[in-house]
Amino acid sequence: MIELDKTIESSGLANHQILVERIESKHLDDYDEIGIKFAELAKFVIKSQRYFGKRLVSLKKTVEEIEGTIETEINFEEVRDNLLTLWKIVEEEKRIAEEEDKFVRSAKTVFFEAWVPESGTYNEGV
Amino acid sequence: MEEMRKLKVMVYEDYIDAVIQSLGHAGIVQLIDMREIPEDWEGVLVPYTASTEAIAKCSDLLSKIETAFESLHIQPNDFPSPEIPITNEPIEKVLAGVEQKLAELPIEEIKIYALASRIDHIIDDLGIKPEEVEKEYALTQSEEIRID
Repeated sequence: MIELDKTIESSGLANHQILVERIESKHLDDYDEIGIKFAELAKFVIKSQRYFGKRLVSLKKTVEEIEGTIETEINFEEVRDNLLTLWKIVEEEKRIAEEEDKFVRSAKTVFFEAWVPESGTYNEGV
Repeated sequence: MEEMRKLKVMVYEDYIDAVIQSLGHAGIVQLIDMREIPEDWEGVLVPYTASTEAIAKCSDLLSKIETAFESLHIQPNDFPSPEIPITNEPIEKVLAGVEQKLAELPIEEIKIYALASRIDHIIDDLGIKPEEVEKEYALTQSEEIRID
């Protein structure tokens, strides 16, 4: 039975085929002991489920109490859109800052070189 | 293949961010890394290092925004990229504005709503009945006998 216990511990019952083979190889006298082990395991699982459930429901109540204190009206889509815009702005500014690492400067002016198409036309502001 | 020409540009430092942003929007410029051609400027000019602090600030803000996205359980790349206006403001000012707007968003409140929603999902997934878990979690005598 010690060997069986080790198998249960190490496999976490995941590889049940090994367990079934070992059980089948046991003598009838061992079956009572196997039954006791499984009953203990079943009790442990039920108790754990109830303990976890109780804690989870308690946490839910606490969170609901905090929710009740929130006075701001939340518009998820608006927050999401604002976040997306801020993210895009910062990404763009980071790209610019990284590009500027390629430049050199004097006291008040910045100097850089670039390749542009010979026939390139530029938008307003460039 | 289209002919290219080399531009040499000198800009007053207050306008450099606006110039680069505009060139980026035009999408037709390939900047040359001056660090790779030191013989062209060494002794006369120095590396432009003002961007180092800005890059660090950008990384910090991006990290905060991404944390906020996680609170909403969304990925920014899952949505169409929003149009952002071209600005003539320097990076520092733009980033300060972003930081202020980010601070004004109700992220902490959203985290609470998200947590509540997540707890409800777990309760549903596990089939937990809140009214039943109120009782003591130890097994009753009849349950013990049934299992035995």
